[in-house]
Amino acid sequence: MVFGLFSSKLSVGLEKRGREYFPGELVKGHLKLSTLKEVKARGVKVQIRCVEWMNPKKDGGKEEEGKEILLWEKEKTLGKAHKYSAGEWKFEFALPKNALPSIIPEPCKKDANEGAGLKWYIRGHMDIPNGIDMHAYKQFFVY
Amino acid sequence: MIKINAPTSVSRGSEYKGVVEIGERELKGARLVEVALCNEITYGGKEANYSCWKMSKKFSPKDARSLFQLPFDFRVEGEAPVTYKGKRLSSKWKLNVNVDVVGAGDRWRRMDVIMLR
Repeated sequence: MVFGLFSSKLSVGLEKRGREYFPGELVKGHLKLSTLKEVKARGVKVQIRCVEWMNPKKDGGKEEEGKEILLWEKEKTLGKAHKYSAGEWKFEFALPKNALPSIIPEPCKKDANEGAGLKWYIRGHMDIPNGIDMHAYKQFFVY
Repeated sequence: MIKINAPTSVSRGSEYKGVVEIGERELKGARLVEVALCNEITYGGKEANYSCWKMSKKFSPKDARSLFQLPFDFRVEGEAPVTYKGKRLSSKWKLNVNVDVVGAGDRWRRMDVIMLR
């Protein structure tokens, strides 16, 4: 079962081009499972998260681990225990009206993953029994 | 005397304007004056600055006599980091005026600027 999962992939897509949102706006998207075989899962979930993060540049010096502090989160269950074949789940989350604005460390790098800042993202998750869970991730910008 | 006449806050996506005045004494031996609006992002109270956001203008004080007036304006991008103090993360903006002096320590003045949404 676990070996069959290597040909499977979970991905997140957002409807809005540019992935830029304002507080109070709806974030609509889909979670997609691409697989050739059926995938047995305990459940399928999607989360929206706002986190403070830090991930130092790997410049050959002393390596420090990346850190993340969760500030806000909502979760939706998209599917229960089942054998899943390829398909899509739609989801939507309303951003809070007082949503914190994204903080990016470099101009024009809204998906930056080195440095530190405040980011928003959607995280998809499939809980696989006796195997490695599947994750998907998509970052977006809040003005 | 280095004097900054500029607002203490600015909104993202707008213009930040002001004037810097530098007296005769501070201009002595100066070869360059830099006015810069700089962001600093720190995490966990450590000194490392993760930010690459900086807007600056450089002026030559060659022709200045008694009082050097430097009008400046910066266009702040809509994605610029806001001023923020969270659990571990902090984002601050400063307006730095630096007078580079030949063969002596630089003269400078700093002012905190609040970046609003």
